[in-house]
Amino acid sequence: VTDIVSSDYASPGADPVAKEADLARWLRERGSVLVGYSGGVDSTYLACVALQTLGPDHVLAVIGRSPSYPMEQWTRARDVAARLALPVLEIDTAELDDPRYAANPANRCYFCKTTLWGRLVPVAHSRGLAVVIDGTNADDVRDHRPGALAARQHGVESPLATLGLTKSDIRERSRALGLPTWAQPSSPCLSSRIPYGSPVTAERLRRIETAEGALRTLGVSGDLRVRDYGDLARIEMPSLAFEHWYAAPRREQLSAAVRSAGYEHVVLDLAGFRSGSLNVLAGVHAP
Amino acid sequence: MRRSAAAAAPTRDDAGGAHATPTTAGPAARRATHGHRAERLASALAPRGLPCRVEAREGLAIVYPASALESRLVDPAVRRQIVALGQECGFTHVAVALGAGTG
Repeated sequence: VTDIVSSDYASPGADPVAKEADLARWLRERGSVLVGYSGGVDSTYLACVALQTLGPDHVLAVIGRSPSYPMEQWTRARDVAARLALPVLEIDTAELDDPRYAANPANRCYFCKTTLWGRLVPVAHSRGLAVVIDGTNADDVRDHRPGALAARQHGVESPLATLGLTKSDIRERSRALGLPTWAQPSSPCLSSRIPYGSPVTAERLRRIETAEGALRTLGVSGDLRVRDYGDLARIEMPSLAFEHWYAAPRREQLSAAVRSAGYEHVVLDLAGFRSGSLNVLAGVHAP
Repeated sequence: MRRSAAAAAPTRDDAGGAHATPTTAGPAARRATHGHRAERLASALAPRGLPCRVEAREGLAIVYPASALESRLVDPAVRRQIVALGQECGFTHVAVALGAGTG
């Protein structure tokens, strides 16, 4: 962790306002940026600060579209960008075409990010943008993130992590900036719901997205994952929500909603939502 | 889903044929192991007043609660106890079956 946090800027323990000032300074030193933008908490905050600091002629937010990117998030990303007057470009990344990705190894994210950055870096060059940046934050570098290697290989920088901005810092500053994403649950790609070693297919991704959408429609809020075991779906939701949703008849409603997406069997996790839950199953640990 | 402890015993076909002698843990051996874990978990839960049937799917334990346990699952302490026992039995995740179509 220590080698990624820059000593030229405020320490990781500094207050979020000071870190944001560091971020603005870091951005000014680059002059122009292409932001890998998903509409999530981190990349939205990064794009917003970049826009405020550099102006719209020196910032381009790029959305990489693929079957693993939920439609709901795509819509939200576009809405937020429009609200901020953020210049946006959308490109199709098609990582499922890479059999190394589709095989779903533990370093699947490496192949996804290799495809993504392999498309975005040339866009930055062609438009004269100085650097490509992503929304990796200081907490992320403590997690299992094989995609970070692809970023390094493509020269992509992660200023939020470099400057010690944690998820909590980013939420706090996003709220202060009036960003609608400040309390948004984390939303990793849909492939993260499939156990490593089990193939990622467009059909499975659609089924996961449909099931999670059905649960949202039912009223499930907060962190939510439908983990895909083929014909069986395991629902993870915040532990505090268990009592409400396990009570009859709601548990039958949960089951029906998920089965309507194409699963035969539905189970509700007793431990509740855990970020990176399937890493445990595969024995994958943070570096 | 057919991973009950009773159904987990390897068959000749599961083992790869009548003359096959697997040198590593194949699907049948893994099912037997998972089935054994499921039995252990159910046996650990019963004397604690948590009667249920358990099925295994790889590292996932699926709990089918008896009616006496169903209402107790809303207690976070009970859920934590079941998860802890599941981990002791080698499971990475423990979940309760929901509604029709499960099992």
